[in-house]
Amino acid sequence: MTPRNAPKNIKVLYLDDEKNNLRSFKAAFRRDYQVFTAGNTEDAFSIIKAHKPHVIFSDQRMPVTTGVEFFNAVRQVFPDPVRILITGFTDVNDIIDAINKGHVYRYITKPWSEAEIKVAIENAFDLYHTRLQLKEKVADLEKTNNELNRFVYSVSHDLRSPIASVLGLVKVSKLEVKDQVAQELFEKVDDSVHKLDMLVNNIIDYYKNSKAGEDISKIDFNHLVEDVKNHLHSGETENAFRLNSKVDQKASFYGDYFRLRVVLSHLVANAIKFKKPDQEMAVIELSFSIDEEKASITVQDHGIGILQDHIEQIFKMFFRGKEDLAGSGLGLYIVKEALAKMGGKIDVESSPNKGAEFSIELPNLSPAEDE
Amino acid sequence: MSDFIFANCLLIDDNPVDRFVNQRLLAHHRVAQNITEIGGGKEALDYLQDCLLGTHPMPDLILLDLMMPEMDGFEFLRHYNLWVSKTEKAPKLFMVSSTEDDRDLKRARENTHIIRLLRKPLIPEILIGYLA
Repeated sequence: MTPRNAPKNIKVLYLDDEKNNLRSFKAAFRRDYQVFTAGNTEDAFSIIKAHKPHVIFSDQRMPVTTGVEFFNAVRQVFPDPVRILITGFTDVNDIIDAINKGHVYRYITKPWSEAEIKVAIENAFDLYHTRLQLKEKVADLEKTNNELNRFVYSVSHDLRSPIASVLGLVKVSKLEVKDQVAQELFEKVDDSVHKLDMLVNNIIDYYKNSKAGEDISKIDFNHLVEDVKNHLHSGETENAFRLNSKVDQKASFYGDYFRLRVVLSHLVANAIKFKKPDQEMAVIELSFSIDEEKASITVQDHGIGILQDHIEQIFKMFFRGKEDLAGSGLGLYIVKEALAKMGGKIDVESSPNKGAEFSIELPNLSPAEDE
Repeated sequence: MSDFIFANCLLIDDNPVDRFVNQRLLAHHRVAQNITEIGGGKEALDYLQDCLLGTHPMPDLILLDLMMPEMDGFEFLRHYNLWVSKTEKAPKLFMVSSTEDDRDLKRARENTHIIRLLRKPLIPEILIGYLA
């Protein structure tokens, strides 16, 4: 990076069709800066290409192109140098327009004074420098952020394999060791490892949702329901549940299969988790109604319901309703985030002891013009 | 007649703990009478060749792990394709994995040899459900 307080290192280009102006500009500033001059735009472009000046001055009135036009062309190819227009008072409208459109940083009116130009160069170089630093910082942050996300994802992914092994071992132990105390201990181990598994899975879902681009495909809702069932955690499937689904399809539906699967998995898992304690099994009604415009999906359960005070908060990150039943507090947050990415919306209606009904609306992204 | 669903089952998994778990679960739920454990795709292909020669009994059920070193589940299935064409009756084949990658789910669904991709830990009731 160019050190500050080393004016000689500031590279300045001046474009003007009048040779005298170029000569006097160079004479005035060559001791303080590295000055390049050009009498036409072709020369100016080759200098920019070869020397990468920090600050570019251009006269507004030139025979072929105006200064504003020149800067506009420069900006497309070399966005970094700071552009300053030198002009007479008569061009006010052009100048205002150019500044508003971002073609030039500022303007200096003729006749200019040495002091004025110097201040302009120093300020422009400051700006150049700050922009550069900002760019580097943003690139740095993006890189760190990506690495962190990838790290979390790959760790979570690798964690799943040993977690699944432990869950399997506990399962076998429960089947084969009949001692009462051992059984109780296995149960506790099982609960804890399931919580861990769920957390890891939520982290994976969260990452995948934030990262993945939209992948639009034609959705087979029966496949979807199968996948949702298959994707439930064993901790949830061990609790008995019945999933009734009803598909009323009036048109083909195109959407993001993965995100929809994530949304439904979390809602169904939730419904199973929050069944009433005296309920033999959780019963969940899943209904799909699809037309050319949208898919309306409802997930209804007959569980413990949601307290009115909590309804506003359930979609917040790390909100946990019932301490003894609570998961990671990520599930419904992921639902909301995934729906936001799909341009969908979700509503919930519930009262305590009557269960909850989540209603989702998703736009049908069918490629209409292709058909 | 025994009350097992199948006579012979092949478990292909590089992780001995998971092989142990699945062997016990299948035995407990009386899914298969004889369960053979194999630690990798290549060895499994050798074993299956021997089955054709009559050295080992033909498996009726195969549980195939996805993520394995050297030869993973999908690569195994590319070779399996030829093998299965030489058999009279193809074994029922399930893929089992702890994967959370939806691309794997999709690949598994598109592969005609795989009945289902099942999550680890195996839930024998679900496996049995797909056999009915």
